[in-house]
Amino acid sequence: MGTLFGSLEIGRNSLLAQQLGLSVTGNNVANVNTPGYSRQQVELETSPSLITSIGEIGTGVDVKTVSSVRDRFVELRVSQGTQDQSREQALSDVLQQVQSVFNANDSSLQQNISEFYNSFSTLATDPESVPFRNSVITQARNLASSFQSSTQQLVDIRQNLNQQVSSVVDQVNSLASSISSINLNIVSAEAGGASANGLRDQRGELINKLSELVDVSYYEAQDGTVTISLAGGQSLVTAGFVQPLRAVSNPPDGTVHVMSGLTDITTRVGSGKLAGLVQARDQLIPAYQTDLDNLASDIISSVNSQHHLGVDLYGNAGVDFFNPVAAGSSSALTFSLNPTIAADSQTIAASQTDPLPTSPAPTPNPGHSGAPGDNSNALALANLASQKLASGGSLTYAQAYAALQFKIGTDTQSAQQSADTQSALLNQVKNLRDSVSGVSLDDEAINLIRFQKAYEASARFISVIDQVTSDMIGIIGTTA
Amino acid sequence: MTRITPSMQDRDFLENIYRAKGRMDQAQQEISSGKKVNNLSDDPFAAMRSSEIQANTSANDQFLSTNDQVKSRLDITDTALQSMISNLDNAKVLAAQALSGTTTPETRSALAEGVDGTIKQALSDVNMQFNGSYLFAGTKTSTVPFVESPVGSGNVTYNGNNEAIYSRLDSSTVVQTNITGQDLAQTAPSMFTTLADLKAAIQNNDTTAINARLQDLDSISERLNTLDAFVGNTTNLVNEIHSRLSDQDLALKSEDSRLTDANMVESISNFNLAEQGVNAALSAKAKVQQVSLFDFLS
Repeated sequence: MGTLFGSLEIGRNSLLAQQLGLSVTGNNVANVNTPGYSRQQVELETSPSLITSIGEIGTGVDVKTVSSVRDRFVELRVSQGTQDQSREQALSDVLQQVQSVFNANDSSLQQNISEFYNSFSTLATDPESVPFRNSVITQARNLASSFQSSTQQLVDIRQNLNQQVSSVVDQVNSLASSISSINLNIVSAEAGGASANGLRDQRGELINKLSELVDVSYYEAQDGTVTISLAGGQSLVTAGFVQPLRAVSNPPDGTVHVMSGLTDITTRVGSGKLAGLVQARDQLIPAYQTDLDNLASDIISSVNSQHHLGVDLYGNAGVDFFNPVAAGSSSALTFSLNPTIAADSQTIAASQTDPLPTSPAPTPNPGHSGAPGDNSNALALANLASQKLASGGSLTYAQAYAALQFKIGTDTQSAQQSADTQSALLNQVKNLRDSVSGVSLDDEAINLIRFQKAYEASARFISVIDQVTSDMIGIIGTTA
Repeated sequence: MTRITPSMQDRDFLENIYRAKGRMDQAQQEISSGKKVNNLSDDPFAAMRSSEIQANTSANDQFLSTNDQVKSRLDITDTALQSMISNLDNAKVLAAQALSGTTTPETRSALAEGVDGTIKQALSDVNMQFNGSYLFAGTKTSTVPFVESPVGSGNVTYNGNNEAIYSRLDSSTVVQTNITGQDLAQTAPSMFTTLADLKAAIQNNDTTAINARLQDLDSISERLNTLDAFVGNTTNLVNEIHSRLSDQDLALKSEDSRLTDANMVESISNFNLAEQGVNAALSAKAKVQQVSLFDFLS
């Protein structure tokens, strides 16, 4: 038989339980905008019943636990989606910068190449003209300047990427350290058996932030700690222990490599912002640079060769027109006019000498004696513009440069499209996560009503029991 | 049933707004620049073709300008040749007069003076310059080709050479564009020697010699006419190529325009549509807000 005081207990437990329900609801509503927050629920169960001769008699409600609603598989998908989207976005952002170096406009490299060869064509109309010779020097300088500037900009972009890689490494280490601390906090908070919902939410957010940076894979161990690894198996966080990454700058060009312990993982990071940065820095940009260098080398060697075949206004054989490329250096970066030519336009070899056919001497004689009015070398130099590249293939300079622009354009376009696609996919997955774990104000409003009503009813119940108890005391008391 | 949370609604709204604003931005860029290819990634193939066309157009324009130079040079050459031809006609008239049989030492002296005049005129013609370069010196264009030494003696030596000067008219045409002094005046019978001998023959009243020199003058005239025809033909070739290059230029510019110019009507229309889309989404969001049960509970 339940006692009156037992009933009071039922009332009391109910008040506490409904109050907790209100509190949890209030917490959910307060956190509706908190990133990474998983809505919490009060899990209620009936208290153990009394077994009596007339059957079970209930003893009220107990709060079993306050739990977070989470789906770890969806959260895993969010992490993976974040990694992919971050990689594509990083790549796309870098390529936008690169393409602005090569965009067609009036002062582009393509224009400079054309005007350089055009200046020889003009020179051929009057090889002795000082203004025409000076114009050749000016255009050669412009061309050199254009090659150098394009390359320097690529070098600057790569340098910036190095800094970004270092920065990512720092951020990864900082996040890893925070995660390891939270791991330990969760273990001690859950020692009593309850779930550390808030801490787990925080840890989830940190893992997502980490997913923006590198390709993390993680799982939760038995003790509630999360083990994180990256780059195909390198351990990052194990419970409270962190294996930090190091950013190491390698000579000679200062490329920053990422080390985990003694292993160089720079090329093994498959996703996240780091992967995008590394792909741009180590694969795409060097390829563009090589194409630019090949173009520069070709121009240098073919112009020099042709120039050697001519004679200048002093009657001397043509010297190197452009400075030859030192082994191991970038021909585009060191592209420059021979100072001898720059200082004295008379050293431009516009004429040629070759044996004059003499018997019989044709009239006019197509041979050349290298007189100043002879323009044959200037004509030959101008005609190089329509020659195929010496380095092979069937393209002229203009076509080769245009082909490089095409390559950069398609790489950029496809990175953009990829980033857009990944972004849309990520949003979908995030929506899925929110639909499971996000706070819906409608839900919480209903909960508020439920718990409030139950509280009111329980309070009413207590009031009735109190009245009954008073009545009973009153009956007993008055008989004394 | 899928739960809908405020965060989901916000995320979707933002994604749509960014997309619509992106379209607006793209259309705006097209309108303000007049081009639909502003970056290589907008249309890589068009960008590549446009870059090649830029180079081709530059080369074409260079040929057109060079050809104008060549044409001017040829025109001056033609003028000089015409002057020489008419100069020789004057000499022939003088020679004919000297053969008339009614000459006196005084008239012969005057005729000889006349021939002297033609020598001076011829000297001036063959030393003609164009932009500071001697036209008839072969490739020794800064050396005076014909020098009379001693002055007034009629004894003229040629200090130029016999080399050709070429010009490239287009990517596949290279032509000789000069006439050497050798061809002009030195090939036998030599112009100056003939005129000097004519003067002496008139002074000596040597009719046989005068007749022979007259014949020589005829063959020199014929030679000059042939050379002038060469100049004429070359000029025609230059004109023909000029017109062909101009057409090519036009075709290239058209193709470039087709590839990269924005269709204004289309761009403006796209902009308006995108702007409408943005406005609609924004105003809908403002009106709808996020209605939840809380709004209705008192």
